[in-house]
Amino acid sequence: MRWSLHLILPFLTFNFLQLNGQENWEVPEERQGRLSPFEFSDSIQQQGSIHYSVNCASCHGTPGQGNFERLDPLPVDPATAEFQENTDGEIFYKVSEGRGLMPSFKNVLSAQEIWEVVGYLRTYNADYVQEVRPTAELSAYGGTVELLMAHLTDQNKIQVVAKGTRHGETQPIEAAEVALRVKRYFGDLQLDETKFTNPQGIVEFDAPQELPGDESGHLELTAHLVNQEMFGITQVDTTLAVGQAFVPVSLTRDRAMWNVVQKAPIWLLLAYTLSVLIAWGIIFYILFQIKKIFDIGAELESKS
Amino acid sequence: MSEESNNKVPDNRNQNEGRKSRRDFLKNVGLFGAATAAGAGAIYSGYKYEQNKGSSEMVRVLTEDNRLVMIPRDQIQTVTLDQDALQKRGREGLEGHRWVMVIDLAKCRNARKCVDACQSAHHLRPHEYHITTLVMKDAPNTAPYFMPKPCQHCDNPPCVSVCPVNATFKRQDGIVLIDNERCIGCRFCISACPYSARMFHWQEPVMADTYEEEQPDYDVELNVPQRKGTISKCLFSADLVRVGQLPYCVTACPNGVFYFGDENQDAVTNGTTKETVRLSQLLKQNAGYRLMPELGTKPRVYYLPPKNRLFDAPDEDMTGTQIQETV
Amino acid sequence: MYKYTDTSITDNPKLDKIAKDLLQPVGLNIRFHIWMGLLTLGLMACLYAYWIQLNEGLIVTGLRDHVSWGMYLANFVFFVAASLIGMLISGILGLLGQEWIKPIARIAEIIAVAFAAVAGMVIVSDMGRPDRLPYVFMYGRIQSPILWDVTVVTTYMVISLLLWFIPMIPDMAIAKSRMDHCPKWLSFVYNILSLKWTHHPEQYKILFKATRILFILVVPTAFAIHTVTSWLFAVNPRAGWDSTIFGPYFLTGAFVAGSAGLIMAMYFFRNNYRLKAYITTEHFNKMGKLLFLTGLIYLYFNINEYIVPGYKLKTADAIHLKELLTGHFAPLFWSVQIGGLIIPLILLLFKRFRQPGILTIIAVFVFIASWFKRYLIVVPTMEHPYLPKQFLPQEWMLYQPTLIETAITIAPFILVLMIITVLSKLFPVVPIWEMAELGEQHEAHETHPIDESSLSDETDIKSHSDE
Repeated sequence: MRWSLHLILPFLTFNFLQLNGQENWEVPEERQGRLSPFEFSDSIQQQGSIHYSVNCASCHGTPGQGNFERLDPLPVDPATAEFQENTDGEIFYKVSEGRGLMPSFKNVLSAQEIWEVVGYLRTYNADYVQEVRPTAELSAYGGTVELLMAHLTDQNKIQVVAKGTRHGETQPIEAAEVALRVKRYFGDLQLDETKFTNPQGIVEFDAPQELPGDESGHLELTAHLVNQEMFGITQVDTTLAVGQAFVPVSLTRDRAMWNVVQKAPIWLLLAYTLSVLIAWGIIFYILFQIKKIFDIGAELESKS
Repeated sequence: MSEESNNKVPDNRNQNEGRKSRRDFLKNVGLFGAATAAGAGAIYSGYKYEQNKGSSEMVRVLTEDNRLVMIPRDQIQTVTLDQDALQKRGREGLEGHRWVMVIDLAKCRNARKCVDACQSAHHLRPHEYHITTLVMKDAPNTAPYFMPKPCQHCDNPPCVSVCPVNATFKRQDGIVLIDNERCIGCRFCISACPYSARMFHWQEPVMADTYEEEQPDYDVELNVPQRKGTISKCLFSADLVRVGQLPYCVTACPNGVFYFGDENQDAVTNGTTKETVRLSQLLKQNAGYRLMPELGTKPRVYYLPPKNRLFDAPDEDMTGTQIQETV
Repeated sequence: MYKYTDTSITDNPKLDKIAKDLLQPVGLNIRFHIWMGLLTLGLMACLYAYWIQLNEGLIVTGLRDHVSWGMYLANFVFFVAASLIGMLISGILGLLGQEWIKPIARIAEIIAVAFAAVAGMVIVSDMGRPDRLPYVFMYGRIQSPILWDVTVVTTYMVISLLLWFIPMIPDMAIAKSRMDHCPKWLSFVYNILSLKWTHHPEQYKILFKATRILFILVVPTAFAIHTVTSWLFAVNPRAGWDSTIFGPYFLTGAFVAGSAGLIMAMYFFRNNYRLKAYITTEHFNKMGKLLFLTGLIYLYFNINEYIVPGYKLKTADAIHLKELLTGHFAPLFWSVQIGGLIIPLILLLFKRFRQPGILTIIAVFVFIASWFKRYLIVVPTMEHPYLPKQFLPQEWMLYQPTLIETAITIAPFILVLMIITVLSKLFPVVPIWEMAELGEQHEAHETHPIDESSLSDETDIKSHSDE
């Protein structure tokens, strides 16, 4: 048991820090006051409860039942007053970003779905009165927004240009946050950090040279503007030859002991076949000899 | 001996042979349809197209070998995949991919949700494991940790080498599958596997009665229906992977332990947060390793060491376990 | 082309007595029927156990996911091992020109045929889906040692059958004319199996040539059969099996088991078939020396197999050895090693322990120990996998054979006894013509039945050594 003390000491310290941290889970100020764009109706809350049971209940348990996992730090029961003190924006932020044991759900649930979860959790707060985000805030950019993407071959950079058309006039959009993603089998991989456009509406990303693409290095790229509340869903999909040319090789291509018979090692095929042929060749030769014994006897019999 | 001879495999559900023989015959006829649909059918439809040019709208369809082709809408015939077609595609695997799993030991708290999800998807009893978690302890003075252990889907699989009838096999995308319509139950593969990753149906599988009633087609990528007297094992959820979804265990984990993805694309996706990251960077930054590399099995499962753990180390007196020093 | 019929052997004055002695136990008497009836009853009980296993699945055995190979596999290895005695006697000693083996060579071949034939059935009892046995031939992967084993066991069984049958052809001819009292169907069988044998020198020539070729062929085949059987284990990366000497280790172990089995059979036939004049105390003396020699070589391989890993104590090997030497396998391990190998070796040094009775008792110990030795090779390794066994019911942790499993393990022994009984009651167990010939050589070399000049290359089989 000597090791256990060594083990426990750092853990105690670690836990202490964690607990401390939990009390001070600071949500950035601009996110605290964020509000749901829609009203938490019964059907919305119903949806939220489904998301909760799939994604949250395994640790947090059923709200109000106290049947959460005994983890360290303890997961918070969302029905408690302590939890309900969070603003809508704070809950949204914490679910979305995660911290420590709490996974981030921003890639799992859409913004709409996270709001549905918030709505569901508010059913455990009798005093809650929802404040809905004013509709005026929804479309801050009055006009159509367009993104263009190109490969600057000389600098080997991917250039994304954001343009807005307002009142028949097209002009670059400055200081818009752009994320660049590349399509992978189970989800999109974000390349680099998000970047902000310059006054010409341009943002440049390094080409992911070492990221495998198809046979000629083509990657399916998606650039989109992060601030959906400002610009709506704006994205551009392009296939550019910016990655590494990659020719996939079948794992079953070569001869191996574990492969199918047709791809068995040559030496084994030869050794096995030859051994069997030789042994059974001799056996049939012997059977032939036995027949000869019989033939001799038969001949002698017919003579006598 | 050849793969094509699959077609001749007699359907081997011994209890119902008499009842099913006509069904099998129809199945084999169905197979002919399915097998020729991609090849001969394409030529035929090309010919028909020339005849009916302009008479029908063209639609784009994805063929079995993942090619996008155009055929006239009135040429489309719906083919349901029968058992032999399922076998064929199951044995080939997905072209151009190499599936890989990364397990982050720092995040595992032995919730065993992966085990539950796997067992319910593959119709297993509580002690029949495709994946299980183990309490590991590397040395007397190091801390124990939890380790989820699926099949390692080795690139030099000792279990596949020893199979006498090609019942267990490795596909081009790296997945090691078991065909329980072929398995003779010799259990050589269990002996050969250094990771104790395989299980055997010592008795009728838990859902045997349901199979009896419903007579489901056998999908080699799901290994359902399970069969008494045959081997079963982790399949990397080949059925889900085929349709672009993460394996059952990976999605079920509440703690973000599992990453799954394609080594050829250098990307793995976390089953809990659905965040996609670069495989090479994940392994480099976290000092990823593989189990028992000295055996030369070349697993497709990587582990990230249990450093900066988010959970307490397991107790040594965990119920139902015997903590053993690992080797 | 064949101008005369050689009658020297049929004219041999000693032949009458030898044929009378050796044919006298042949025939199906009441004791045979009672004995076979008892064996059949026992077999039925065991088959009932197997029927249960077929219906319920292998759950009725003590096998589980970790120890998935147990008594059945140990039994299979033992059966293959016991069958190798045919090759040791006919193949190796025969090629070395040892004349003393002649009266016991056929017994050795009967043992070889019986054990090799049943070994195939033993392995079927271990299969989860025995109905799919044909798949091994339909979809066989030649990379699997199981396929090599199937191939080589079949080949060995056929060669052993030929080695039993071919030297018996002249006896069939002798027997058919001398067994007036035997049932009609048996005479008919003899007539067919005698293949119109007329003791013609040309026929002898072919017979010697065929057996000599088979003697040479049986040696590599028998080496292959047991080496391949050892590879069923040695190809797996597991502590206790991961050994480069497994082939010779198994092979020498097989000679020990086979020699012990042959001694037991010799003792039985000598006393029950009244063959004391043919299977003499000198034969037991020589078999005792053979058992000592094979046992000594086996001991040498044991030393290699345990001391080399014991010196390094690699983690998994250390756990394995600890379980064997001091753990819960220790009582069995030390009984087998001391009672079944070391004490017999010491005793066999003294001539008085190579007398028929006492030698047979030693052989029984060695034979039983040989079976448990295979158990100790198969089970402990599977009980200690590299990764811990956890979250399993307690009874899955350690292997405990069940009653049904034991019955299914006993069944093959009953089958072997049945085959040996049938073969030894229908046909003479000691070659008549070879005995006549040996006796004749003692008297006058020049009246040899065979035209010596035509057999110049067979001289070492036919060498006239006087024992």
